[in-house]
Amino acid sequence: MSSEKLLTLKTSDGEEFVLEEAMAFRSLTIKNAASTNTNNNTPLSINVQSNTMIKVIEYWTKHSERDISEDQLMTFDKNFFKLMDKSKLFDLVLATNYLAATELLDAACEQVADRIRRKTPEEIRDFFNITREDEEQIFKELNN
Amino acid sequence: MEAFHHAPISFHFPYAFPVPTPTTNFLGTTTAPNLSINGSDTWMDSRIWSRLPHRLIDRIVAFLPPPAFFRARAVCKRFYGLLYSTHFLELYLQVSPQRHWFIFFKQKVPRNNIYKNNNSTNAGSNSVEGYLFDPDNLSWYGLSFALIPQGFSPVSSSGGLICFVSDEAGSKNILLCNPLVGSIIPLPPTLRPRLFPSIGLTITNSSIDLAVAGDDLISPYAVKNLTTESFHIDGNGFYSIWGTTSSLPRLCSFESGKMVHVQGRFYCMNFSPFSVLSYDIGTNNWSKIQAPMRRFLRSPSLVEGNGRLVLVAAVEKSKLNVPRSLRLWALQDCGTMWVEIERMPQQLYVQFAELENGQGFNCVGHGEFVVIMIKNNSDKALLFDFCKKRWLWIPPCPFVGGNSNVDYGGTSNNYGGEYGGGELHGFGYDPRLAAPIGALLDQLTLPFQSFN
Repeated sequence: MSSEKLLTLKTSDGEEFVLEEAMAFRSLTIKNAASTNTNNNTPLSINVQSNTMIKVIEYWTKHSERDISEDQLMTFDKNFFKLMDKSKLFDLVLATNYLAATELLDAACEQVADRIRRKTPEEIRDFFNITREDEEQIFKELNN
Repeated sequence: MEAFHHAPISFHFPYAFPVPTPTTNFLGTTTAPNLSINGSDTWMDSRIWSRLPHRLIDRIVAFLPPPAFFRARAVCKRFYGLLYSTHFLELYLQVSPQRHWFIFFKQKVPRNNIYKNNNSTNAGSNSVEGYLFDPDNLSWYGLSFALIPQGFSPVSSSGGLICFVSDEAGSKNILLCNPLVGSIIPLPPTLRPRLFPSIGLTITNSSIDLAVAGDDLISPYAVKNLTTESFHIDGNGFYSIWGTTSSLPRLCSFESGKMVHVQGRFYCMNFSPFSVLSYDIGTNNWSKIQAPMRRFLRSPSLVEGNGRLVLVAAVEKSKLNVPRSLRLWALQDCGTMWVEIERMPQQLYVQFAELENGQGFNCVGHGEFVVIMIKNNSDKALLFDFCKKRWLWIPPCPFVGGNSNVDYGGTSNNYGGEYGGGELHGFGYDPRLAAPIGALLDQLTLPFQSFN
């Protein structure tokens, strides 16, 4: 065992996760918060649900493994996303954006892009819940 | 694909992208909740989070391959305008993955037109058409090049731009074109008169290097491979416009074609006997490299494969006990030795040889893909994937040959006109929505000649 520094995170629904600092710092948000948080004993609160955080940590753990081949990583990534439905995927995108964890954010965004690639414009509108009202709303907001 | 806008667009990008600081939220999304160290409970309201914020949707759209991106522009006004949004394009340049695609064009005939090409008799054969090939999905797309003027042919591509060179003998005019947005950037014309020189091109986000070699017109009807001119511009303000000319090795005879760029050098195939000519961009020097098994090669081509120079050729010598095969060799780091890295599976080679029937084949490569096209038969082409070690027959291009009733703003039935009987030639092309190099060229004031 290495003498790695550990960090405790507390999710929005009260669960606590303990990780190695080096792994947690894949999130720039956590890294910046930790540098300003002088009291090392209190867990760091993050605005992410625990079920999403579990997935994030799963991804980070796999990508931190040594001696893992490109091929194995690719297979892991493929399976990691394959099982996610749209709402879990969106949760992951929002969470990794909030956490400023770019590697996973980009992987998740690329996955979403893959899912909409063959869709018609109508289907894409449906997928992202884009409505005409959006534009009228924005227009109204801008003019007020 | 959607029709393209015809107004040339110039993009101005700062070369430094914003760096996250402790005080700003990394991605600048205003709708994301702030990090709370004290642990206040803010629930994610499902009404707010049922839709992703615009910045994140933009990030997702930035990952779409160009054909899907252009289809997505029909989703809403905001998506439509992304192509012109500086914010989106900066994001795009940061996240969009490199795509190892290809673009093909119909071969123009005849090639020996020292005489001025009289196009007035060919109705509707004017606009150049390109055929975009996606090797991951084995799909074809048509691309219009309506803005390219008469008398220019595509020769090379790099950094998302396609290079067109004037056909007429003499000083050559050069255009860099991004067909996805319809932009054309002219470069200053070359100095020495040439017929059909070989062109090498490499473009990065902050530099352009171009080499024009051979086919010097030593008299109006005689060509000789004598010199090379090179062009260089980079973001540090250093530029050399056809200033340096270097001599080609004596007695070299390369067919006019493209040069392949690998790590700071351009390479092209030299014939009788087979060898490889290498041009060092930094020092403007040429050198010769012996080809492997040079006496037994047939139809050799050079391609760039995952950062290495790869020679693809058929091997046959009836006198030896060398089985006929199609092989790939990679040039080693020493720059003189080749190592065989791949051979076409024998069963497949039998099929291939039957179709090819000794006519020869051309190869183009991009990243981990190599496309092998049988000459005089545009229907049959093979795709080889270095990473997956896979050989596949490519579905024929639907825009060429029998299916040429597709309307792309110009007729495809040109068998009697400028374009020959369906033979395709092409090169690797990474379709990009924006190429920062355009901004670089705009900033430098250079004496461009109009190409009218």
